[in-house]
Amino acid sequence: MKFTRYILLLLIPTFVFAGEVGVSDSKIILGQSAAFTGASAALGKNLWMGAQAYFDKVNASGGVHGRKIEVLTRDDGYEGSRALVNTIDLIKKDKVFALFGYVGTPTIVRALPAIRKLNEDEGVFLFGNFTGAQPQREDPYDDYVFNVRASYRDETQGLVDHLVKLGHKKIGLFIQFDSYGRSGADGVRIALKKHGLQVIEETTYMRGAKLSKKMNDQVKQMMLAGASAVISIGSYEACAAFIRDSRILGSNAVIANVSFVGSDELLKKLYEEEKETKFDLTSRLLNSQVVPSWSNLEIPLVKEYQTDMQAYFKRQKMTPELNFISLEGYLNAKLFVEILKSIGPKLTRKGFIQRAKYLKNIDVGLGEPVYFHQNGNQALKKIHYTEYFNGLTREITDWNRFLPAGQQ
Amino acid sequence: MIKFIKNKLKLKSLAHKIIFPNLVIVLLTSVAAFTFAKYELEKTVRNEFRLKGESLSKSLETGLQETLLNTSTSAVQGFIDEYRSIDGVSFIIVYDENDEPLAHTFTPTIPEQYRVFQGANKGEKSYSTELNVAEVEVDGVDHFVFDAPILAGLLGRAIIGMDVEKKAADVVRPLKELFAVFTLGIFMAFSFFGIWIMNRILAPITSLTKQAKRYSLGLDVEEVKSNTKDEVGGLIKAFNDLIERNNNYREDLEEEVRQRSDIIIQQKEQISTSARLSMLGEMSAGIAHEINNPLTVLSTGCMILKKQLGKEDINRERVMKIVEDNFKVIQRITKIIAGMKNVSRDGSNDVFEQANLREIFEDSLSICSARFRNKNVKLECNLNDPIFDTSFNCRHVEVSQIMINLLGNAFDAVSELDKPWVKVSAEADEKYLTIRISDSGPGIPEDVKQRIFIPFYTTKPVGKGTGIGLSLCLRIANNHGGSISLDEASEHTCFVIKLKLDPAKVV
Repeated sequence: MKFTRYILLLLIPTFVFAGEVGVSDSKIILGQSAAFTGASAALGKNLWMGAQAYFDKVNASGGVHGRKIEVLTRDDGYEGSRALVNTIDLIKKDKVFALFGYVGTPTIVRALPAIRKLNEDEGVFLFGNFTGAQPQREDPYDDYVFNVRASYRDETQGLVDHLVKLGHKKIGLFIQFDSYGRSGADGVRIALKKHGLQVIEETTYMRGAKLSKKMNDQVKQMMLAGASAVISIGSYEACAAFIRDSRILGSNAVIANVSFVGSDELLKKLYEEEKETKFDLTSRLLNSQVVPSWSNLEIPLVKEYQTDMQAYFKRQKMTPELNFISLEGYLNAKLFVEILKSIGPKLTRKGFIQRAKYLKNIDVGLGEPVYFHQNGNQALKKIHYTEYFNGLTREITDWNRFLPAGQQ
Repeated sequence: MIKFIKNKLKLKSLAHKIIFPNLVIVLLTSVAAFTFAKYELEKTVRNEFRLKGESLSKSLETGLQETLLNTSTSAVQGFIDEYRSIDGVSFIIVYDENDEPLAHTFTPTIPEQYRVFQGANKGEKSYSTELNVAEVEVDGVDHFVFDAPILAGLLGRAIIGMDVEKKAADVVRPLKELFAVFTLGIFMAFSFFGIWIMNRILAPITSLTKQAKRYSLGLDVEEVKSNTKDEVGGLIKAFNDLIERNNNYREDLEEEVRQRSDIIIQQKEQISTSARLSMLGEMSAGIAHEINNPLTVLSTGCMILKKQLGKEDINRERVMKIVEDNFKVIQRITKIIAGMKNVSRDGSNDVFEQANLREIFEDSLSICSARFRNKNVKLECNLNDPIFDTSFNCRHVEVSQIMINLLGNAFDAVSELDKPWVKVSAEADEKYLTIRISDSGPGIPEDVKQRIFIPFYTTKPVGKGTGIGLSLCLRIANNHGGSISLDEASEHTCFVIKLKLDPAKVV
């Protein structure tokens, strides 16, 4: 059955090459379902903005093979069912060429079966999504979901390795109560197991929790367990609330967040709360990132990103605001365009998928070639670690600041 | 039903008044509570059922999604068959993305009326994860129909029909049973407890009523026993006190009545005597006449004898004649006195003897015939009539007294009238001797008629009559197994005296 369909799909471009869905002589339409409203709105907006800054530049210089790239957005508010419906609508109604720049694990997990069906029927694929969860890195979804960023497993593995190396033996978990939180928690467990350790305590919070929400119960639980470090798998408002209440209640544990938290958004929220509470809320906070620091101009991609973002903000008459998320969006867009360029004027979904998997040396300006690894259909592996210092996010230089309490 | 209970349980009226309204209230309350509970329960069941249906739909959708994506469509049938066996699920239909039935749980095919759900999503497709729930009547049965899009409709739709009514009925049934048992239990408990209580209260009241009834009939009354100190106990105590007081009072009263009765008996005797004396008084005029004439004859005879005896030549023949006449007169006087003696004494203690009606009338007339002659009242009484030969068992003196009384009354009634007369006739049949004494009077006025036999009733002036005569006569007649009555048919006053020919058999 599958084999038959495979052959049919091979035949289609040969006999019926009358142009692909979402592709015209002048345009390539991409569809993005992301959170543009709600507690995680900043993620969707920044991811879209970063990509848009790059597409704008490409389109301004005539597009790719004469086709300008357009992104149609649909808001899912970080809700799975809406992401599912958006996915179908983007394909069936909006007739986009490809799905691009999804945000979040609970959303993508719901959309995956539809993407699978749409891929079987029409060869649809998803490129670049803002989540490090496992499902889309595994069979059968790794056939048509292109994961640019490193996975939560990669991130949590890196965090655990560093923390254990620093002497942390009691590591707790603070997770969002859904597939995203669980996905990160699984990564932590697997990583700890390699060191012969276990999660000392796990606390949860409901998705959509705001900054105003008191996290005292979770903090007390963690303090009771005596956790010297907490790995937090959540969104920025809830995580900021957890950090605030930890410090207010006297916990000096290292609190590590993963990339999805949006470290710049998190910092903004923490500053608000510092003014309010007069507590030091930004020390001993560790963040794993899947892209290098957006302020590190030594990296060509970052330099290009900053230039294009400034231009974008100027065009939009907006206050410039750089962050890890828009950098990731920018990177996704650039990688997508690089693949498009290499394909040539005859563009099909099938052709794109084949080409994207085939290419081994794509230069996006990270200082090393990038390609989609067979394992997990994932492009990036490297994890970067940042901390807050004087109101800025910077890559960690001195790990000793994150020793267990009392050993500093 | 009520009659049955009334009869079977012997409910008293007080019990009706108390138990039945309460039972009705209990029943109404039970029914109301049941209705309310049923309504609430059904509402809850419906909601729960809806939630169950929703979660079933979701899990069915997830399962179908997996099945449709990972295996062939043929596996769908096996999958939904499992769901079909879940309690409350009445049917499942799975449509593919083109709204064609993929699988269903009907044999031999989907009934026409169920196809209304087919094609609902034709035309411009809209994708949604939203579960549509409709309350639909299918084959006259209330159904929740869940329309669950599979993968937002990309893979089709799953329709689950759930029989709400059956479920609601299943849940309400034990409630019904519980309520039936509960209500029956309360009903029975209330009935029996109520009857027990009522009987506790009613038993003393019933015996109180019984004793009061006996008392009202003048029967002996027992003391009503009561061991309660409540209102009923108080009532019984009051009743017992009342009876005791009344008993004492009655004893006093009886003593007094006895004393009074003695006095009355004495007085009666006195009256009887005085009645006889009055009769004698009334007779004395006649008697005087009766005796006066013979005495004049005697006196004249004696004077002639004296003259004869003073003469030399005594007409011996004449003397003998005078002596013989005088002797006859003396005999007549003796006879009068004997008759007077016969009728004036108290004969009520005499023995019954054979007497001749003629003798009775001769005795009676010897006393009163002079009165009739003096006043020129014609007395028609043919003593030669053979009927007067009739002999019968009686108290001679008493029967004579009846005749004297009635003849006296007749005389008094007519003596002042023109051409007065009094007629005596007699006749006899096998049993009775009937004597009629009628007079020329106009009859007795209607209002007087009714009272003439009442003792001491009289129309005569004070000092003349005692009013005891007729009542005395009636009593004598009754003692002889007879009666005295007025002949209503007669033009004149006519007393009818009936006497039994053999009264001994009566007395």
